[in-house]
Amino acid sequence: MLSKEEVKHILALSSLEADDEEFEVLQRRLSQMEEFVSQIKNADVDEDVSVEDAVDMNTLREDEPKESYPVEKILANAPKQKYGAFAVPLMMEDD
Amino acid sequence: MTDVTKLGVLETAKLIREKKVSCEEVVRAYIKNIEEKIVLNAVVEVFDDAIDEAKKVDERVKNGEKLRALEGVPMLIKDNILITGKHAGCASRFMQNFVAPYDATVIAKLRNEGVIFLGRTNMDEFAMGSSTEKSCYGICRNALDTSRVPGGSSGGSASAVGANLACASLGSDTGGSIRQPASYNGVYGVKPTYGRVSRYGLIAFASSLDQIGPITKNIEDNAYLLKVISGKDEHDMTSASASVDDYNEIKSQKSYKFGICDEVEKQLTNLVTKPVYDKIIEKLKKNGCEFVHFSIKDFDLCLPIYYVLSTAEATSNLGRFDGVKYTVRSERADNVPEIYTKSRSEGFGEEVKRRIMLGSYVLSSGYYDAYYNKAKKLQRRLTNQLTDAFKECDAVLLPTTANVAFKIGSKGDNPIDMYLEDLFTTLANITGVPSFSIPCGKGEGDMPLGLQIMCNKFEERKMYEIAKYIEKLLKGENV
Repeated sequence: MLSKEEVKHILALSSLEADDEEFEVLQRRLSQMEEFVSQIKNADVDEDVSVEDAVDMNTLREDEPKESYPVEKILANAPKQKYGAFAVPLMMEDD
Repeated sequence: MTDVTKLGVLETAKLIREKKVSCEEVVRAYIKNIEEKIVLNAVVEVFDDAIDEAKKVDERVKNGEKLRALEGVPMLIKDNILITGKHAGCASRFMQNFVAPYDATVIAKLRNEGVIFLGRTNMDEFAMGSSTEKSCYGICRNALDTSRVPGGSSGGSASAVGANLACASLGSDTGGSIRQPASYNGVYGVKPTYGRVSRYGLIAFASSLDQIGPITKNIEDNAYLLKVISGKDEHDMTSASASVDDYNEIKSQKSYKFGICDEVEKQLTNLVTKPVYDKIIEKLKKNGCEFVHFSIKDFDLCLPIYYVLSTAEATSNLGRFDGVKYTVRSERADNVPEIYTKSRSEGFGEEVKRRIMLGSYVLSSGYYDAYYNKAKKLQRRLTNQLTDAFKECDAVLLPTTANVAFKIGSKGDNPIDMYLEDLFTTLANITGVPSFSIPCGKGEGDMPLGLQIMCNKFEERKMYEIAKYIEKLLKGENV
């Protein structure tokens, strides 16, 4: 079972938070998942096996500037926008 | 006139072309079915312009214009594939305000062939699930028995085709999300070779495993639609330049050589559905097909490998949902870090949160080598073993699911019960090979079961030929 501290750490890594009730469920079920995937820890694999993508396809296109989607179209989905940009609360104030 | 909603893609296109039915009649008939079968909750939105689009097709027919191959064919699209100007919600309340700014490549390709987009289908939130019970739109039901799940995560797309709510649909498959629901609803679903179909405009779950594929009423439609949506795409650097065969001229050989994985066979001995598969093998043998056995030592680790790789990628992909760019922003957030944390915590459902967390865990310092790196090495070994097997056989046969569709709400508190649903399907995603699920018999409650035909990479043509061969044999026809 993952400890409370471990689950809190994982929540922080995931940019998530949970109230006490939700935390209890997450801790239990995440521990079940962790136990399930930990089966692979015992599998014996040669150290020299390649970890490159087994799919072997990742070809980059030429780096040529191209027209992209219009700003208004992309901003249309933002919960808040201002001056043609995504709007977030002020991060630093003038002194 | 027969019920047009029972017809598939190619038959419908032909009827419209030959003026035997108007496109508007076809679209209205499907909308009527959707309304009558609202209990399925398979379709979450019928597009209000579908009938207008149908009228335009009828105009073109009337004016004697040249018609495209799929002119007027109504299709339904999974809620995680973008259609310009339409909402795409991934069945998540977090995405409730998102309107697609562009067409996914698959949508553009279908549009070019004249397809009419009828609406969006239900799914598990962010495609994470095997039952379509975890959706912000509510649970979806099986086309053949409403007390059962339709499977998932493309449950709406499969239930809709099974219940004749569209000519065909698109789904996405990361660990079985097209094939398992296709099997549960008695329809045809393919997970193409990784890279065969562009993922541009598919809201990503696990980018190295995701593929879009068609769900259809017959083999020919599936082959045809796959041909249409396949091909290299400059917007997806993992899309393959491999040539796209004309799958629709399906001519089978006299016999084939099939591979049976010993580890799959061992799993089968515990299944009540085993006699169904034994019967198929018996029939194939009688018809001169050969069988070779091979071993995939790590087969029993497919699910753990899959859950490490898919959650690791999901944690990264779902990082973009932050309450700033397109998802709902929490009203409780006062500063930027809070926007991320509070919006994500309010927006994502529990299953999605857990998968993001497992992904963060397996990638985190101190655990990366034991989990993620190990899973990548095992993925390589599995792929090598399966590739070797294909040197000795044309296709590998395996069940799509362990049993028929289960009852709604019957999976317990432990998430692993649900994960075991993908026992036979994740192999194809982990190794990148194509796999096609076709209906092959019935199990408990007269519910359908699926058979997977798995071929080597980019051998979809052979896969469809073999599917046709097996289906003819099962129907008692000459092959």
